[in-house]
Amino acid sequence: MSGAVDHRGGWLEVERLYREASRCRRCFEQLGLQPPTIDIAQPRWVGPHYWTSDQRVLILMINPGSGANRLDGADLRMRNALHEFRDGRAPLREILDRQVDDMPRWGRGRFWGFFVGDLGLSMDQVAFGNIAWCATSDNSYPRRMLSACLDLFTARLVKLLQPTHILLSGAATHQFRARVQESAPNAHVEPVLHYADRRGREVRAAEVARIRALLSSR
Amino acid sequence: MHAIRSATEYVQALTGLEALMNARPGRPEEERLDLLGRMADAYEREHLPMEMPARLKR
Repeated sequence: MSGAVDHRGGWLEVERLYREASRCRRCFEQLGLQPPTIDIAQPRWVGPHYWTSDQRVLILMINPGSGANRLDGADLRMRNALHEFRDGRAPLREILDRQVDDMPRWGRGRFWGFFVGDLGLSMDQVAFGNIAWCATSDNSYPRRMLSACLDLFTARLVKLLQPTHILLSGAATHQFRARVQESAPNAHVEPVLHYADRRGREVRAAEVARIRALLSSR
Repeated sequence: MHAIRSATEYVQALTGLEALMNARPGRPEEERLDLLGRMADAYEREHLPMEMPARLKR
């Protein structure tokens, strides 16, 4: 389950998949969901050294946020950048670089604090994904949306990324464990607490120790 | 638990899933979440397919 993979073509395939997803309006047209400012599928970070890492860790979350609580205009800038990406006027790396620059602010710093600070992961070597790739205006994510996006896009992303480990972040993702495992039969798929879980320091410390042990044992 | 056989049972399963959104990894409620998720998956695949957007059809 370890060893770097031949990534020639992998990046191109990932970029092609993200661009295809950026044209999808299915949930807005068929489920009556309303898009927020970022009204388009959002690619997620893949570190530049992900493919050449012995251990390819993919962290799957449930959905991107609506950005509604951002007051700095970052969501508007990201939307415009994603439209350029969709139209072939910007490369995926430009989107991902913007994203990683913004990450320290995600979840009021808790995202970065958990994955980089507590778990000690290197952003250069990990990949992130969501079960559903679009945000909705009221942050409602019916299971049919999650399920459909998983079938159409996320499962394909997981196959392309060939992870050795998949961390399912938060209980909302855990219900899809079996389907994620189908896409990566050789990966270790592990449900973990959400990075912003509020059950206290003790629970968090135990979870951090558990995940660290898991990642260092393989 | 048995397979979901009707829309009513599907809605009940969704309610059950919603109630398990605080499940902790390794605990019994996590196993129930996994099981309910599999059951909902099976029902959705058979009864609730969504149309592929025309612009994405290959």
